[in-house]
This record gives sequence, structure tokens and C-alpha cells, in this order.
Amino acid sequence: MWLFFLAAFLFFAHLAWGPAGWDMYVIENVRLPRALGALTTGVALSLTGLLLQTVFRNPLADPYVLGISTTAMLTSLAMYMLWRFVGLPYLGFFVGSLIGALGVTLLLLWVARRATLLVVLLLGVFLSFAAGAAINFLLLTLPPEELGYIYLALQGSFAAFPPGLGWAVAASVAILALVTAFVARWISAYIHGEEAAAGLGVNVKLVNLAVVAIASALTALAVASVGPVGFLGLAAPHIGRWIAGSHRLDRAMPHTVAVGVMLALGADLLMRLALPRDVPITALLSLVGVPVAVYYLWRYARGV
Amino acid sequence: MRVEFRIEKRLGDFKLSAVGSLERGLTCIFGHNGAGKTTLMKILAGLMQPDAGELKYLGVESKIYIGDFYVPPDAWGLDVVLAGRSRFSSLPVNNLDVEKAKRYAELAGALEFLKRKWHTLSGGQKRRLIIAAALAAEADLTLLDELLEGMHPNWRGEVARLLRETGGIVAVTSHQIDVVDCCDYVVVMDGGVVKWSGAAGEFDKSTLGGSCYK
Repeated sequence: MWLFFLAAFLFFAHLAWGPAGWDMYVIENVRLPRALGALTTGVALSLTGLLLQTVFRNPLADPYVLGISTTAMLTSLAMYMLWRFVGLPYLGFFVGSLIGALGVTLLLLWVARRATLLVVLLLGVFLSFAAGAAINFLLLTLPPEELGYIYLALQGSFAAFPPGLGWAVAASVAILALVTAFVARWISAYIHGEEAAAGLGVNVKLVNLAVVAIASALTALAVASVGPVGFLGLAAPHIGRWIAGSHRLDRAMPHTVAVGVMLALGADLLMRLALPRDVPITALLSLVGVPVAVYYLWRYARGV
Repeated sequence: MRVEFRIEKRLGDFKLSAVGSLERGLTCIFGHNGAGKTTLMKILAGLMQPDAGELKYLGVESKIYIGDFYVPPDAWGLDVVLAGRSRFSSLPVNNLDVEKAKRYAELAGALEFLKRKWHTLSGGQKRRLIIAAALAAEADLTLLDELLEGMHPNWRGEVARLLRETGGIVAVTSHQIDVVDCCDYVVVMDGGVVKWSGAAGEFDKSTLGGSCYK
């Protein structure tokens, strides 16, 4: 409960605090979209991280590490360029993001049934590199004057969150989180393996479908609105599970989401107030994320 | 309550061709490795489709199967028992589920392990938590694959009593013949067929022949 108060406090601090002071115009047009971006991304990525870690039974799974975010970025950029010709670049951006995220999520789940965790993780990292490289080449085809905004989105920044469309993104993320809650008990059983879950009476066909749809839609929405943001999806589920005292998705979900929101808002607040200008949000989040990842890697290596 | 099966299933070179039934009470299914115990269990659980034959569940509304059961090393004991409540709803577990989990953990002698992390528990303690999960499922048909193996005989008798008291049909597989004293019914499988089945009282251990049973 205190987690949610803390998250709400951070949200209002984000709105109220800034160089311009208490100025309604600035709050509505600058700080609100940005705070909403942090809130939405915090929910979307922490929940996706929790879903992927549960289903892959891999504590290092995260949409950024597994290359889902970067590939979604690549496909959204490609679609953006294609759809410019029909005058709907922004819609193309979202559709492209969804296609990329869905494709990679399906591929990784397919591989996970046939290979070990290490193979899935490595494949995800390789995909991330390949997509990152392809993005750089794709950008060569864009006229330089368009690079400014795109570059911001490519780096991952809550400042890129679109003011009007943002509400639709936030509403979609809220609906997806609600859908997750409706199948949360069944997804939780996946920590014991898919067949074990089926043996306990879980409808695994439904859960597999739900997980692919929810995880890729959440990542796609986050990528299309603020760009690829790393480590949020990795760190938040671990901290959320510790606080909840449970490894089950249904019991750790509220804590994970609250932690994700707090990390996103906190990191962005810190950046706005303490740094002379914006850096990619992943840079600040990584300060928290990297130690967590290293800790788990160490434990995994020791076979604890 | 009764399950009747007459099924055939081919997996590579192996062929399962089993006929029999399960009654209310504890049925022990014996057999060597590769005798078809797990395949039969999975088909009864609905996790595998038979190639031919028929399955009848008479008065059986719910069923669970516990076999390969992975648990993340840093999961808590309570998480494991709560998994048994999966079949009741897809919504998040509620207070009732937690209460039931605690009650069944107490029955299975695992109450003190609920707050412990999985990797800190011994094999026997882990087994108790899984038994508690099986009980918490409150299913009409409970299928447990090699869950009684390597268990202390006194404690095994206790578990057998708990399973019998569920009032449903419970089937366990084993390749340790000394489990037989705990069972109501015995099914012996070999090479994919049911060699013998009947009440445990009528079961003569020497009919098995195979050296590992002597």
C-alpha cells in the first residue's frame, strides 16, 4: 500500500517541481505528458518483465535484454518511413512497433520450447544487436531535418511521450494490466513449468495466447511512445517479488508495477532536476538495473 | 466415483496398451522405468491424447496431475502450495486460497516451511510442500507421479492416510514395492500393459518375479 502512496507522491512531485515553478501551462503541456509517459512506461515494462521472467523461467528476461524493444523500434521506424507515403506516419509507427514486438516474442517462445534458457537469452541479445545496427543504417535514408525528434525517441526518453495520443496509450496499458490480472493465477503456475501448470488445471492454450498478446502489446506501446527503455523490466520484477515475499505473478504484480512506476518517475525527476540536460532514461535506470542483473548473474553462476 | 480406461498410445518404439479402472481410495501403480506408468498417468490427466480407445470419468469433476515440478530456487514455500489452487479460478489468489494453503500445509507437516525459500529446504521438506499443494487442489482425481519415492516409511504411511482422506480417487506411481502396504488397490505395469490389478490385500508380491521387487 505504501508503495502506491509513494508512487502517487512521485507523480505529483513530478508535476509540481521544476524550474518554471507552479505554472499551469507548463504543468499541463510539459510536465503532465512527461509524467504520464513515465507512469505508463513504468507499468508497461515492469509488467512485461514480470510476465517474461515467469513464462521463460529466467530471472534475466526483460523486453530490452531479449531484443524485443530494439526490434520493435526497428520495425516501427521502417513502418514510419513506409507509411509516410500514405500520410499516416504515426499510425505506422505504432503498427510497426506491434509487429516487431509480436514477431520477436513469438520467436523466443518458440525457441524456448526447443532449447535451453541460455540459447533464448543469447538469441535475444543477438537480435538486439542486429536490430540496433539496422536502425543506424535505416536512419541514413532519412533527411537530416527529421532526425531531431526521431533521435529523441530512439534514445528512449519520457519527453518524447506524445501529449494527445498519450492518453490513448495510457488507457491501453491500463486495460492490458487489467487483462493480465484476470489470468494472473494461471500465469503464476508457469513458474513450475508449462506442463506442471496444465496438470494443475491451467488452460495453457489461453495463457500462452494471453502472454504473447499482452507482453508484445505492452512493449510495443512503450517503444512507440517513448522509445526503447532498458532495465526497468529487469529490475522492477525482482524488487517487486522481494517486497511481496512471493515468486507468484499474481501476488507480486501490484508491487512490481508500483516499483516500476517509482523507478521511472524517480529517475526522470532526478534527470530533470539534477542534470543540465536530458540523457537517455536508460542511462539513469541502468544505475539501478546493472547491480541487480549482476547480483542475479552471480547467483545463477553459483547454481544457488 | 470411478475412472475407466481402455487406451492405446504409441511413442516411438514404445507402445502402451492399458485396460483398467481406478476406484475411490489410493491406487498404487507399480512398474519398472519405461513400463508406461507416466504415460498412463498423463493420459488419465488429459495432458496427452491416446491414439485409440476410451476414457470414462464417472462422477469425476476435477483432476490434477503432479509429476515434473520445477520450483525456482528463490521461490517461497507458500508459492508452491498456492499452485495447488490454480484450478479454482484464473483470478489472483485471495485470502481463502491462502487460508486453505496454510491448513493443508499444516496437515502435511509443512506449515513451518511456508516462509522458507525453496533452495534452503531438504528433499523431504520440499516433498511435504508438494503434497500440501496436491491436497490444496481438492480434486476428485489426484494423480501423483513418483511423489512417494525415497520417503521415510512412517511418513509415507501418514501421506497415504492424508491422500485417502481426501475422499477422492488418488493414484500414485512407484517402483518401490514397499509402498504397497499403504495402498488400497494395486496396478502392476510392464512393457506398456497392465499385468495385474486388484485390491492390495490380494496382491502377492512374488507374482511380480522381477528381481528388483524381491
